Amino acid sequence: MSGTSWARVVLWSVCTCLVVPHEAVSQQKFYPDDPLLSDNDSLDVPEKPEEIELSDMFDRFGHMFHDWGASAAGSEALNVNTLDEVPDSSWFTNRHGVRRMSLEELAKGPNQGTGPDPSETWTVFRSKSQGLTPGFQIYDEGDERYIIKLDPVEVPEIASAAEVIATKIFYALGYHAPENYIVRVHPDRFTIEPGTEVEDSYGDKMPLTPFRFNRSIRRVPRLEDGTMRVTASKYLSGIPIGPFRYFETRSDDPNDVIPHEDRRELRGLRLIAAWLNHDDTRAQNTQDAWVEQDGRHFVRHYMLDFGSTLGSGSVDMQYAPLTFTYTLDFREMRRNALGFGFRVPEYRRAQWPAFPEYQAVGRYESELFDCEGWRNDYPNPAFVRMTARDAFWAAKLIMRFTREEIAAMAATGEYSNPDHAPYLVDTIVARQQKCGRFGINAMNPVAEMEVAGGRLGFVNLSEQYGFAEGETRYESSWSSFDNETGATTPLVEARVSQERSLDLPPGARDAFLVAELRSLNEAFPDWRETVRIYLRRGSSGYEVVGVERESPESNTFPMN
Amino acid sequence: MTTRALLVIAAIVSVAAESTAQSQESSPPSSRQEILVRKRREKAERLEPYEVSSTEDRMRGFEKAKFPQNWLVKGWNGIRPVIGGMPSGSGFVMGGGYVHGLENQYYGFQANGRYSTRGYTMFDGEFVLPPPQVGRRVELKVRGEYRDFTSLRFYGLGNDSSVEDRSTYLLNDTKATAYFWLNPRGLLSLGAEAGFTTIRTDSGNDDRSIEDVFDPEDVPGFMEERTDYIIAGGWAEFDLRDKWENPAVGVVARITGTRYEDTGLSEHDFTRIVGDVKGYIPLGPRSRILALRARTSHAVDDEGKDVPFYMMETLGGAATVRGFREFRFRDERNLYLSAEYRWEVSPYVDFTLFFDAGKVFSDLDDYNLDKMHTGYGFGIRTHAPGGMQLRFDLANSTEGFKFHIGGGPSF
Repeated sequence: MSGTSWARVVLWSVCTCLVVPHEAVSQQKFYPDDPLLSDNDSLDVPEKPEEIELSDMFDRFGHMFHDWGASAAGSEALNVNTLDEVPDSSWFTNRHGVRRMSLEELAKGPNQGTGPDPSETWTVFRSKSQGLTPGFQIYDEGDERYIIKLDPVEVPEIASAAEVIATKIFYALGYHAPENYIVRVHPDRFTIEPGTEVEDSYGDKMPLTPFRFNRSIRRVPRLEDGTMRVTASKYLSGIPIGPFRYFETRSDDPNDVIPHEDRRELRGLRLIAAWLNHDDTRAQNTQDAWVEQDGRHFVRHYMLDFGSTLGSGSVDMQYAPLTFTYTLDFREMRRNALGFGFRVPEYRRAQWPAFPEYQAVGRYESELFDCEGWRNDYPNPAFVRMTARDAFWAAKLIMRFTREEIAAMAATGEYSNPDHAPYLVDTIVARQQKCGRFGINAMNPVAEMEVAGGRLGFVNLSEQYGFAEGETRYESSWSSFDNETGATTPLVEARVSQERSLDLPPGARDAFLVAELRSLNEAFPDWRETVRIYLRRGSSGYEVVGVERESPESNTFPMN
Repeated sequence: MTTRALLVIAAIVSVAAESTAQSQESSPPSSRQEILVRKRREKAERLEPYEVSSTEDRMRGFEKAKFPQNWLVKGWNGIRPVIGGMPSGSGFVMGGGYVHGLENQYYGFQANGRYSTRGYTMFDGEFVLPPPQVGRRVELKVRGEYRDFTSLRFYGLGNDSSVEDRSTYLLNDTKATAYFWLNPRGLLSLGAEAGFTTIRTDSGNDDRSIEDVFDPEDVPGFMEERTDYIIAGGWAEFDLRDKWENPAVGVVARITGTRYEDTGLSEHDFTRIVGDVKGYIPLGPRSRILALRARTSHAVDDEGKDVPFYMMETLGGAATVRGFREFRFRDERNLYLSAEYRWEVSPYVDFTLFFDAGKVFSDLDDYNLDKMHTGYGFGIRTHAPGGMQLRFDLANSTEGFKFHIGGGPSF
């Protein structure tokens, strides 16, 4: 055999041996790293994805005529772990939901510093004059860049307070948000970088001169010391590559494998947006950034522009009809048209905060508020797909905040009227109760399962938060569970008890156990749907490894 | 070891390494994270540029170019197209104009030229100090206008004129006026105007001109080739509406007096007095509004003089009794009443059912509700905040259906 032939044989042998096909599909239900608390979705993306620009009109109205999402109504979110929770990722980081943040942490939110120092020079390097609401971008003496936003001239404080408060809440919930600061700065502190141009409302550019700059801010209210109140939004780290959509995936981002409409943190955002009146939850108010961390590049997904939250509509008080209907709501239009005026649009019944005393709070109320009936600007593909499980997840997060914690975040809005923050807190709490009740009562509300002292404990969130009346009993049974085949073998017959803990099956040594739990309350037939709690035996005993919630019959919440 | 042997070993190692990776990919995943990593690696193999659709890209292009806002409002260096702005019956109207000072806090200027498919021509220019949007207490406007309308409709004088007598006439006028408005958006505002106009009438270009249907001697002013007027007047307005655009509650009343002095022939000196009251009554919640209007105008000629037909009050068209054509009825005085039941269909759209009634007359004894011409209909109004306001009215009367498209509210 020649050398070449020998080499071929060896090569063939090695290849044959290494590529013997294996069964690639595993039957096991739980893996050793379950429950996955952090999805390490930061596979290195060495080349920056291209920046995209979306059409505002397409974003705003394209969803009115077509559902751009792909998954079927009622399909469940795809990015949840075996506990039915959202693992940390480039989209979301569990914060207050898993570890109670201190009041200081809540008030600080994403802020890493104190914002631009108003005693230093702020250099304007970009400017846009749009009628009465000019905006500009500056860098401070430390070369940090900020977007400077001004409140509507007629309604001081409204947008800056809403922006900062909502930022804190969204951050605590787990979303990635920019650092937003309220700063009082004297107009004299501004200087203009040579060559800076200003763009008027017609898109025409002209050199930004001190005269033009001062003219653009001349109507901005001044405080007693001559300063004006602004919001300084710090540039995000990384390189912006455009907004993310609430559907599909980015085809140039290898880490983006879950269609956005099937991400729970985006579906559940519907409930959160309703709570905080964030009607502007659309692609244009998001930002993807190509960031570097630990030597790797990947895309991080941010939510931006919380100016249209709470009672603020960014450039004025929230427009009264919005949040009750879509911007273009054909169903509502048909009803109103045929009603000949005798059908009164819902928003007309709202009792808004007293005007003008509470104009800085804007149009934010809780009496008429209906968490399920609330509407953002358009049928967001993720929102329309929210299932009972998504709503339950969001409601749990929402209910984590105590009044004191909400007050700590509301205080960062720095209202000059001392009555405003208390009103806001009352309203946020009242709406929190409504959204919490809606999401938690939507399905069997047992949660927070934990094994301790030979018992599996749990809580009934609905009872814990006072959303349920009447006696609740729990029907439970135990089985052993074969992780490879999925087969179950009954161990303990079903029993009914009022206790919120179950004895583990006596003498259980199985690798996996599963408890089936139904909540029996006459007022809530949906609670009878089974929750399966999977336990895995580890070195220190059993631990909860999985929670499976059967969905109730009314699993979807259409936004027609 | 020969070079060939080294190459063979290197090849084996290379292939083996690749095969190991393939094997790992095809073996069962050992962790949840691995499943996800595999998915991502798989996607990394087939990455594609992420792009928006061509439709969206085109829309984005329009937005960046601020189309059509920039084309129609700002134009190219202020030069812009102009659409509409002539009386109904003009045909399709197109033209061009120049605007300056759109973003200016102190003044605004515009000049426009229009031409219609029926051969109408119009030029106008105005200078405003300061522009209304600035919201100052004082506004001064100087306006010049040239119009050449070749076939305006004329049906005869009086409340009983027949639609069968439709004829046309040519109106060619030039006008220069200055307006001064004090407290224009206040509770009580006052205004004054002064100007000069020269008017020429002639045979209409349509198949039947006035003289083909009527005795020209019976049509005041038609026999004069040209008449010059000095105009001076003023108005007072009391405004109690909740807002200027689409008011839901309140009332606005204006009384106007204008003197027309015939400086040439001195045959057509007269004074016009106009009273106009608009009320808005919410019927329960403000999603239902009853809007009412009463307007009366009286052109009172001096002793021995008369009011020329082209300056008489008319009835019909989009602004009065909508079931009739514009200029359908004409005389020295008129009375016009309108009621609109408006209901909210969406935040940006209202529907309305309306009823109009009106008459023209010359004798003050006829100032009553007898022999009113009536019309009724259905309308749609759009009023996006800060955006374009459009109005579509379909009206019916004894003379059939009429359809009107316009901008801004009916009243």
